[in-house]
Amino acid sequence: MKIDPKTFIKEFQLNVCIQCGTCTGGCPVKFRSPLNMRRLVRETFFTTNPSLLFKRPELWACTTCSTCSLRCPAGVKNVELIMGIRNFLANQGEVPSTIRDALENTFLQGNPWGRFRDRRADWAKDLGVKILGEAAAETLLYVGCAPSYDPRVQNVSTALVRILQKAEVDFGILGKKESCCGNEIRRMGEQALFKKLAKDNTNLFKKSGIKRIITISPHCFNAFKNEYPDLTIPVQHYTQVIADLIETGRLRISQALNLPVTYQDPCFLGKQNLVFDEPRKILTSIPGLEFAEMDRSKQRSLCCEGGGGRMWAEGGTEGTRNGEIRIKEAVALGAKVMATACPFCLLTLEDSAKTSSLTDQIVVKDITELVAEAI
Amino acid sequence: MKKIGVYICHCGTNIAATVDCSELARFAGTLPGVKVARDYRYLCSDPGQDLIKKDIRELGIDRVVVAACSPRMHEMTFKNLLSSESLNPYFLNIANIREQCSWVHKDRERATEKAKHIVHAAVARVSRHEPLEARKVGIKPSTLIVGAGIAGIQAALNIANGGMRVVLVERAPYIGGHMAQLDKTFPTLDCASCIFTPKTVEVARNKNIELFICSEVADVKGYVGNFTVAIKKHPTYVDHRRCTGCGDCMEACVLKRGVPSEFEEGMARRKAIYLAFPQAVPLKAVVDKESCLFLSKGKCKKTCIEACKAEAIDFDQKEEVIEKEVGSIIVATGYDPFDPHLLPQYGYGVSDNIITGLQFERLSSPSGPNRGEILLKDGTVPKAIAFLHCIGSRDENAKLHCSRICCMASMKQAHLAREKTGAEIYEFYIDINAFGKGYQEFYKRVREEGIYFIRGKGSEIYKRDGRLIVEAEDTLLGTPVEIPVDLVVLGTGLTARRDAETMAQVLGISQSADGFFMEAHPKLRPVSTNVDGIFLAGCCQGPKDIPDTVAQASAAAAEVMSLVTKGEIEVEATISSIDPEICAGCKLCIEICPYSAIDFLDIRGISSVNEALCKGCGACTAVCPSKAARQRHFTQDQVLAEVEGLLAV
Amino acid sequence: MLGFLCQNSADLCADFAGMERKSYAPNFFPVRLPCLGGLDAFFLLKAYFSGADGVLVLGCPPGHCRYKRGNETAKRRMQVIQGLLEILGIGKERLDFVWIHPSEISKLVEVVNGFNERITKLGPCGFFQSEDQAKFHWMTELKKCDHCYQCKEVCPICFCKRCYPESFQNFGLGWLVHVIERCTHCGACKDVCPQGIRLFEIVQLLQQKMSELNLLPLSFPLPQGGEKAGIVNITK
Repeated sequence: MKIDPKTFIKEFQLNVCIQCGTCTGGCPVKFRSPLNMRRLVRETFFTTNPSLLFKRPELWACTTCSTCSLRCPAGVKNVELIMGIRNFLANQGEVPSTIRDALENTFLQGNPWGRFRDRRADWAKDLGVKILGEAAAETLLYVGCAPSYDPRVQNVSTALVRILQKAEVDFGILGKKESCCGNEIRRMGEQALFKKLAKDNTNLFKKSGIKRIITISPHCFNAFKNEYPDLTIPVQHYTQVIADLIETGRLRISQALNLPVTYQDPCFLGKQNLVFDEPRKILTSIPGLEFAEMDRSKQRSLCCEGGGGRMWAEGGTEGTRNGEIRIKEAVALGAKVMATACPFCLLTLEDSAKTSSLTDQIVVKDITELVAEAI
Repeated sequence: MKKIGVYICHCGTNIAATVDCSELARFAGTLPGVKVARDYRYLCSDPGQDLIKKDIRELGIDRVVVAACSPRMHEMTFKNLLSSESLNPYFLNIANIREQCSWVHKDRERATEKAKHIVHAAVARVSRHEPLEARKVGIKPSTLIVGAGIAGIQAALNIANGGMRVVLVERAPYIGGHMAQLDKTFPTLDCASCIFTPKTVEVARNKNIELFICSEVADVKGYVGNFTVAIKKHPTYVDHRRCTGCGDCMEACVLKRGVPSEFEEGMARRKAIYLAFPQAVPLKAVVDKESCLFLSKGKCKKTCIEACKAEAIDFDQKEEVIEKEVGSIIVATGYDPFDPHLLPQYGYGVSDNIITGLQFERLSSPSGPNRGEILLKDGTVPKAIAFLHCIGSRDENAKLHCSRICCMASMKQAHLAREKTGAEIYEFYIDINAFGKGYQEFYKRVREEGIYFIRGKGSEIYKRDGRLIVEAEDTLLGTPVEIPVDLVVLGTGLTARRDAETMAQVLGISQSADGFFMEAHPKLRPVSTNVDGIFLAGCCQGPKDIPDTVAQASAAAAEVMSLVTKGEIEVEATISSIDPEICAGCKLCIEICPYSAIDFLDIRGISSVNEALCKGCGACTAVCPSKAARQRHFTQDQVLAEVEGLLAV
Repeated sequence: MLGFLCQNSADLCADFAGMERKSYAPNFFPVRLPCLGGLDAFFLLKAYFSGADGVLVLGCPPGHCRYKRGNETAKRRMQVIQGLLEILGIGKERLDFVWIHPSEISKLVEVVNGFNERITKLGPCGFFQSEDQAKFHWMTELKKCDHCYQCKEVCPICFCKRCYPESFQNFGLGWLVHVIERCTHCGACKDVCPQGIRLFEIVQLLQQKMSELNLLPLSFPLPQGGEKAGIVNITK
């Protein structure tokens, strides 16, 4: 499918740009790579050689946090332009090799890491979880790729299962039938594969007869809620579910956790989908937990650099990682735990704690892990 | 036998480019009752009008259809033409084939076709027009001015000094509006209070101005020349005839910390009983009933009463509603600053030392909380200050409009800050709007002072190592920047008042898309509204600086004085009447009339319209089962003829 | 399509749309009224009789009517006519009522074009012309009216000295609109029509439609179960 870059102007509203620089100014990788969103918009508008323009490695540094699009006063669709350019490149076969591998893996094995499809639900085999298809349930717990395959994130999945079982929520997982939600796929530029995943997943969900979907990752939450064209089943992120369970008394927090804790708002949950209160409600309902707010929180939360395909991007950035900046900010605040609600934040921040040599001062834990300790 | 003359205007190419005017004229000539049909380039011009006059005199034309621009443009012109030829002006019908035809349709054939339908309908309608006499109503000589900021004050003085009476209603306890909060004004750096105190003092002293403070306009009834307004006077719990403005009550008030002061934009606190600020006009104490312990909770020693030597405090004061009869109204209610809480990326309300433009004015003002020193919350002097332009303006996520004055205000504030603190100053801008007299020169001066102008809108503010970091991009250099400063001043824009919608409903005027009140015509009638007799002045109509506000206020005053001098005005004759022969006295019309303008005549058992009160809305005619009630110029006959004429060509 | 535009909002907005050179369907013919409160049901019916395929009524939003409540009265009237159009088989989609501020130019263009699309899909209206008995059986019946005025003679709530519907194109249809808000269900008109037009039934149907739409009667309380209500001031 040939894509004509000239269509980008109309599609992404490039002609309304007033070159104010709000996009570049708020970009989380502005000091980490030569990526300059404002200049890219202007260059795309005027270019006579888009192939040459788009072949820059810094275009792969974008984390698709969407701060640029959200703040643009003129209505330019900045992050969508990046995705459009990546789509153009993917169609020509001109993506970095690690990205190409991630895309191919998803096509073949249903997850960007290329792990075996059949082993997707192994993490759950002794937890007594319903597999939809073999049993029926009201709610689908859509696990996601990282929470299924990454050993660190599997703890999150396990914790969440325990919580849902304790609260007697009727749920099931898709098991081996589950495939990647496609959110990152779309952001890496593979529109066609994304459309296929969306279609197949939507049918799968409809056939399973479930009435509600809960996701672990905010990325999956975003894809299902905002980008799947035919999905009408209500979707929630697990923080919304747990907050509701606590409020309605169906989940009792009985143990105290006497720790100073701070929280990283994930871009795909917070600034993009405006879910700010529920994670905080959960944390503050744990007795003994001292919640401290970092200055850069909520809409100003600093992107961990995990999104936009960055989990599969090699190099291209320099300087101090945002994750390290965050860890240091949390430590300076006096927090001993950095709470997260996103598998990518979890992985990148935990890694950053190690590279900053601050693992003795702070641990990174997902909200599910904290709640599981407290029930 | 009616003799209808149909005149098609080309309006240059405005109509003729899309509508085939000669074909339209030919078509019109074939319609029943039409004696002559012509087309001409500019009917509103003298030769154009002469053309019509000639036909009236020579061909005995007694009804005229003008197919041209919207009646809003030239209905008056052609009505006068008919009157000048001794024809009743209501024998005119304007067919709108420009704004609602040639300007909105591109296909020539279809536009001409539609124009034919419109003209056909216009001819059918005009043949059923009746002669009507325009009603003349007297204009009451006094004026209501809503809002006593600089606009209201200026208009009030113009009118009062012209010998006419003014009722000036202000919501706050003081007059002067936002201008009273400013330190120095651009570009002359005049002290705001110094230049307007003479005006406020004059307002207080002028015998032709009746000032109501702590009051609001609750209801407006009537029509041009004859408005009845209800002014709600909120209780101040202080007898202003006795209060001397000494301030002893404030000292004595038991509230130790007080509440945030509205005048100081929250930068300082005030007691429950307070004087707005030391130079306030009028300088009278008022009690805020929400923070007053006695009024809200019933428990207080009332040390204020003890302290007041003038015995002016009266907790038994009640709300009063005062009715005034005025001839015209000037709305000068001003603006509200944009609330930066709505743009969370700037951290307003989360971190200290992030303030709005108005808050900076209070800091800088010698009568402000710091006596004019620019200090941080902890009392220290800032070493670096950032001014962010376009906060809440020109923004799809906030307000679309440009607030016009903030560029100049930011630069002025930068200059003052530099003078007072010697700090490094950064102005983050997108464009510099320095449009007025002396403004570009001031911009140069500010640059010469070494203030840094960074072309890039501030994207975010966050705290790091005890300083505030402004994230932006220097778009001219093409490099992203993070500038550490101590104080951030957000150039918050001007928006319509929070209650503009309510005010618009009370008055019956409209709002523009941006929320400000709508002028009758954006270019040619900037101070009038769609309601005769109600005018606009100042920022309530749109953001503007002080020179423009004063000019507009004087313009509104001139309109008012012109009305009053004339003494009478013609109002639409299109009111309703009830045919006593047909009326069966069912009273449905009385029930539905919004102005209670219909009386029931008991003896005859029928209803009758009170012509003085009727506004010609037509509600009675629509509800009357036997159509005894009819609205002149919009009768069943006439409208049905128009409807049929539009469709059955 | 015929449009009824109120002078203070929709007509002003249409002028603004012209000034900004917006573009909308050329088969939209506007009629200007001082206030929609004066929009008579008969104007609407006349529009359909004269060949309108759709009627669009545009006026000030609630609370913004220059004459206080004209817009809300009009809306109510529209709903009654929509009910009538449903019963007659014309369909309520051929009448639409939209609130519009004078500054909402894009909305005006959207509404006119959207309505045009809808009407184009529905096709020509053919009010009171169609011979299709099955679909338009009520219209077929009403067409039979030969203006004998027997129903009017026996009706207690028509106390007009000169009854307006007499001069309307089809007396039966005009009569319906005339009495609908005030019919007391006395049933006197049941068997008086020499053409056999079932007036009583159709009025009942229409009143039922109104209560479905939660429209309270304009002035008089609707009685339950066929009793004559106490009506004020009959001068018949």
